[in-house]
Amino acid sequence: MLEVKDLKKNFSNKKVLKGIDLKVEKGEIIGIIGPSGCGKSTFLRCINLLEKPTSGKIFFQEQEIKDNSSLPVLRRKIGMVFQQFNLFSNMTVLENIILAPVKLKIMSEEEAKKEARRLLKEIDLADKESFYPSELSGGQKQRVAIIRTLIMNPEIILFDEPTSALDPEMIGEVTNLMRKIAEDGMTMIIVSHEMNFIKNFCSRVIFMGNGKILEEGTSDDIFLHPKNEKLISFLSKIHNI
Amino acid sequence: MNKKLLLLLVIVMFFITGCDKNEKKLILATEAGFAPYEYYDNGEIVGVDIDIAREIADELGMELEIKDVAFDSIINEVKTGKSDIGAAGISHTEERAREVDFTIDYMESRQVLIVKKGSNIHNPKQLKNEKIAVQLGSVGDSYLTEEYPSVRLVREKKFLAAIQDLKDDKVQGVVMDEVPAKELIDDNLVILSDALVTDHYGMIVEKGNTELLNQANTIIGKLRDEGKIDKILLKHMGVKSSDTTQSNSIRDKFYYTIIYDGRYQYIIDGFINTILIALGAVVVGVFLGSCAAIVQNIYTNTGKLKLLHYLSRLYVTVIRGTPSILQLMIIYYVIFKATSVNIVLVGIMAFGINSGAYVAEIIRAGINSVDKGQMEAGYALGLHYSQIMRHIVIPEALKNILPALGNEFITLVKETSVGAYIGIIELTKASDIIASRTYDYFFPLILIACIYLFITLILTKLFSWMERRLNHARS
Repeated sequence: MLEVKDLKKNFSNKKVLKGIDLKVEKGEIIGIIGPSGCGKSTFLRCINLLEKPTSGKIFFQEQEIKDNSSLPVLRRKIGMVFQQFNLFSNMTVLENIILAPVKLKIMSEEEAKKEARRLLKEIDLADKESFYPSELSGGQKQRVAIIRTLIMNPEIILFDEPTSALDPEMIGEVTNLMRKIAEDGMTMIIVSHEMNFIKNFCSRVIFMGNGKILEEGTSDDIFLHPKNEKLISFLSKIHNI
Repeated sequence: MNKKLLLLLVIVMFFITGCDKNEKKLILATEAGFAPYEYYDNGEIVGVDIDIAREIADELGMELEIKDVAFDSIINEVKTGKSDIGAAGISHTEERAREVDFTIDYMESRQVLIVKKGSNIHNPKQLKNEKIAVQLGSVGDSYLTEEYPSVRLVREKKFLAAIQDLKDDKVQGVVMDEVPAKELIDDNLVILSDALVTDHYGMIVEKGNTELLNQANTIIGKLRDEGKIDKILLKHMGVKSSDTTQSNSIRDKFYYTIIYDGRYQYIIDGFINTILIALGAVVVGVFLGSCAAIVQNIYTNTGKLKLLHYLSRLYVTVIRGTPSILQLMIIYYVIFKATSVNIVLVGIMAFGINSGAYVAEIIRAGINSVDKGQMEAGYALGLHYSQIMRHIVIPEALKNILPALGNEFITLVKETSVGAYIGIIELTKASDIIASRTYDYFFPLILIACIYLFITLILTKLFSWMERRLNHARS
């Protein structure tokens, strides 16, 4: 469904990504781990072209993702959840969720509101629909952000450190929602430092270091039988904490 | 048959328009930039020459039409019959008299030197390196500059200020026209009897147009004999001897500043023009500023509109890098040089263009202050640039823009006072006019300052109310 070929990205002179290849099949849940600054988030942001790759190609459902007029249409099918939630601060919860489907004429306003309320009910935030983002807790914000992505009916969702900005007691409510979505068959790529979550949740795990994929495999391969030296030292540091 | 009818119609039309031109209108060619003979006042050309020409037109039962052309073109205008009469403080010279016919002199312009009683200057010819005050751009100014290069000139905007300089011993003499000089001196000042220079002004008509020449001569002669021309001159010098107030009580000052002679009308006009210019300029400025900011934002986000982007950067750079008074003068004296466009409109445009550059920077900063993640979230959802800007970024930026915009508006209200420079009757000019009548600056200036303060206080309140409402709607 998604194929990345030899993706490279430089920030001025700094080589952040040094050639990434990745194939994602429908229904896969891929976790990306690695030390900070290794390029995980940049890689994720390159997929929907929030960062423009320096070279390399990205195909989504056989279609190349390029900066042209079809980019917005492709982006609708590639959901994204941000570390800082990025809810539109000038809009209520409900307005946040229905903005894109209504403005892109995917749904009528009535339909969108109905669907948004249904989704809000599922995450127990039905009573918050007319609240502004500043009035919500971090966990609530992130769940609303996920709903805002879900209403577009994406084929794949990219999670860019979805729990890193949350207080510890709120991480659970977000990961639980992600689980629920995964159970419905959603394809996901997750960049996270939440090792236990990645370990138990992902069908495939990728370890990145220094702008490259250093090791990849099943959750057991990576966490129980790591081979790469850097991965071993990375995991030991985490276990020590 | 039809053809004949058409021909008849054309002939009739010819006569109608012809009559209209030749018999109902007296076309006067002048260059409005030589106060007090011809100058713009509140968008209208007025002056001594205009008043005299109007007397002539009235006597002939015609309507006066004024054509503002370059001084060099006036003789040509009259020679070619495009204009009937020319008047612009034109000195009677033999060279000119070969091209056109001169009327009798209507004005003998004597430039005299005023000194303090007991001064050791007794004759203008003595002048060497003394400090002498003149009115900027007056005959005295140009004459002294050319003939007395070693004299140190103090160029004041008004004769009144020049006289004040002399009284305060800031200068040793004042050079000005004799007629107003006589009105301005008091017991401590004297006018030296020898004039620096004497000019004779006449009006010009097409060579051989003796009918108009004779009529003009008759009327000018009559006006001169009745002493009306001196009165007209005084009127345009802004000097009325009868208005001097000697009383110092606050009540009297208030009375003479505001009530007497309907002077409140200047303040009302000034107030209206100040508000009109500020409001108009805000509309123009917000429009231009928004356009410039949007163009720049589109360029940085999409790479489109490169040329427009650089143009708008140039616009902002040039406007922010030059004084607004200069911009106003360039727009008025250079761009609208030949046309008699409404001066308030010039003010609105000049201040609007000026303000636009600052508004552009305010909006740009406001947009930049919106968290980048907001835009990324929009992109990730598949929204287009324009949708993100319209529904997310601009509404959020507004919160940051509004206070700065309010500031800009308040600055603009005060900035309009510069408009007095090109003769817009706004509040500052109104105080100036009143002061030139009462010979007292203190009261009018303080009064006008209070009015400015009043306006800006109301605006401050208005904007903080808007900010509160905007924030209220959000939480």
